[in-house]
Amino acid sequence: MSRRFSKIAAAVLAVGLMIGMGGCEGQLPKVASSTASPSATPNLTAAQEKKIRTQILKTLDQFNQDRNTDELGSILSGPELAIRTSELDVARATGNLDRKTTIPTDLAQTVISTESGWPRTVFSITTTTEDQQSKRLLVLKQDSAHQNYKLWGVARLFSGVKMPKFEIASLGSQQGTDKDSGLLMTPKEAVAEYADVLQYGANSKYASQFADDDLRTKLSELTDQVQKAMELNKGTQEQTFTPVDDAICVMRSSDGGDLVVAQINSEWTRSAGEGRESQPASDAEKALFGDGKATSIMKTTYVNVVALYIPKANAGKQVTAVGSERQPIKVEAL
Amino acid sequence: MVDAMTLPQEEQEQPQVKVGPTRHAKIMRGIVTPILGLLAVACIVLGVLNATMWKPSAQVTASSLVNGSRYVVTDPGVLSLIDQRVKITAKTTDASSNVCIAIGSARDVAGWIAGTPYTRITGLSDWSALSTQKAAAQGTADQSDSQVALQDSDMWTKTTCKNGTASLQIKGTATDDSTNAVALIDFGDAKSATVSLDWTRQTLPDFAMPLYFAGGLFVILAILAASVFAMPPHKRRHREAAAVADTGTEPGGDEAVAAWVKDAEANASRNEKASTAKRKRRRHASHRSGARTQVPDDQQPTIIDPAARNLVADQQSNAGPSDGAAATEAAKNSDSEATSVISADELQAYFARLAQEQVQSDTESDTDDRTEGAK
Repeated sequence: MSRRFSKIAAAVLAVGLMIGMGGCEGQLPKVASSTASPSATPNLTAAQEKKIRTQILKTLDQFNQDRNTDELGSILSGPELAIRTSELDVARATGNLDRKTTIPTDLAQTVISTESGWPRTVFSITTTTEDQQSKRLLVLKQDSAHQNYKLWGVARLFSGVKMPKFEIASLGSQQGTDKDSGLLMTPKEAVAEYADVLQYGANSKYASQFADDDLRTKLSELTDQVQKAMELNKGTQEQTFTPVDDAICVMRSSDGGDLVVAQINSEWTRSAGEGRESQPASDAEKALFGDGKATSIMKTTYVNVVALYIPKANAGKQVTAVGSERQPIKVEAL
Repeated sequence: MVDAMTLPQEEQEQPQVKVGPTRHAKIMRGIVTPILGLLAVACIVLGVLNATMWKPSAQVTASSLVNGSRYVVTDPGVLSLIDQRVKITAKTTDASSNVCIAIGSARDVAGWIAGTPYTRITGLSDWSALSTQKAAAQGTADQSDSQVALQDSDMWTKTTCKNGTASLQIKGTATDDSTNAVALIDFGDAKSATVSLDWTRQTLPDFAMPLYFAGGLFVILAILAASVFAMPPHKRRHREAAAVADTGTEPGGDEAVAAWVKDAEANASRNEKASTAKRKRRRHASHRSGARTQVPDDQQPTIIDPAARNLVADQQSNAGPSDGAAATEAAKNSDSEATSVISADELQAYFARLAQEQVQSDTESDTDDRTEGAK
């Protein structure tokens, strides 16, 4: 009986000592395999986005003041690089930077993608400018891991336009592609068809697919005015709109639609009749043409940035242009 | 009756048990109790040691020598392995080469090192060494133009670059968190380097408290071994009954004795009346539903629920004195099933009281009916 007790006692003592001695540093911790899927998180925090954007806008402001176009490539890319270069060229010639180039630093909303690969985009919507110009939609794009975000596109939102809803920055939105399905049309188709609508106006076979917007209305007014003037001196004019391949950024909205920002280049050829010279049509064109010798034919190249909202299929809605930017980048006499 | 018989028997057996401690009691008090006491002391001493001398250090530093790859990446979760607060130090053997440390998300780091071999820090191999593993990052190396240096990339939440030795502190706050972050260390052209992670523990593991608890348990066990467990088993089992017989001071014992006395009285009175009672009447009374509800009443007379009463049956049972006697008989008959704790006289008094209450409640219900009819 006493032997049994002493055995039990010895066992208890041994266990007690093991607990005591083993307790010097505790058990070596192991790395727990993470359960959260990394693809569902946004690429940047709102704070990181602000830091990146502020840095870009600060540098851009400096280049604006210096009219420095040589180093714009370090902070700008895509259509915005071409547009800002032209804007600064015009500003250098006229001594005045257009009001439309202003980009407010305060944000109304930022849409951060959850894309794990590259390129990655961020859509940021600013507040209105100090002089009550409309909000700007900024597209920041990171082309590869070893590059930084650059300002890829800026579209001035049309006044009174209703923007689609996006997930908040801390959740992140899914980045779309130009082949997204389940929509009224794919983003690539939408851009091509909108280019057709810009070119042919109400005569485009796609006109009914797109809601009326400021860019479309103003372009058709301008075309009509120039057409009338040209007809007086027996001249002709032709404007062609061509989407630029791969110059497209897509973000999925929370209601299932896509917000698409794309570059559409256009060429406007004006031929004056009866031996007359074809002159630049605007101050910007004039500044870009500079001291060039005018001939009977003038060809101007424009870079257009359009922001289109494509609703999901069978929603009974049209594709709506929500913002745009348009800038001549080259004026030449042929 | 059987219980009553065992008491004198036990009283007779009592003098036969030896006076003085048994062998069992000697073992329990002489061996088991001291061992348990020693264990209790050992546990408490170990607890104190764990809380003082052997207290785990707040600082945990683990390092590893890496060579042969430009990049070192910690696995997700390694930075926060011991605590959210961690200091990462990277030191190259070549003091002139540039060392960079960046904190970012695992996929950003994977994108940065795509297509290049690197060294993974997978965890701790012991308390002072990091476990490492050679690996090759998936994807193809970024060949694009306008690449930026590691410290200039937008992707990192924190970054630092120094010649020779670089270190970076993560504070473990919401904006400076190590939970979902990994560290990317770029040694540039250096041939070999040392990476160390230095955690500052905010909450230390508490090994003393379980030992104190075990010590307390051993103390209780020692006391029990010296008292209850040292008793002879048969004595321990019949302790309560023995206490009643010996002293009769315990309240439980008092009640038991009172119950026996009353039971004996009830049995005696039942035997007297059983011979004179009419069997037919008894059966007739037991068939009445009223009688059935009244049977428990004579055992627990304090519970009176006027709402649940069968008034018709009550009326019948109160029809005449002979019926009342029948009910009494029926109640007494039930004594054969359960022990009565009420004397015959008390029962009579109760029924007299009940009859009065019924007359009152009947008149009350009559007036209620009338007023309801008037409405």
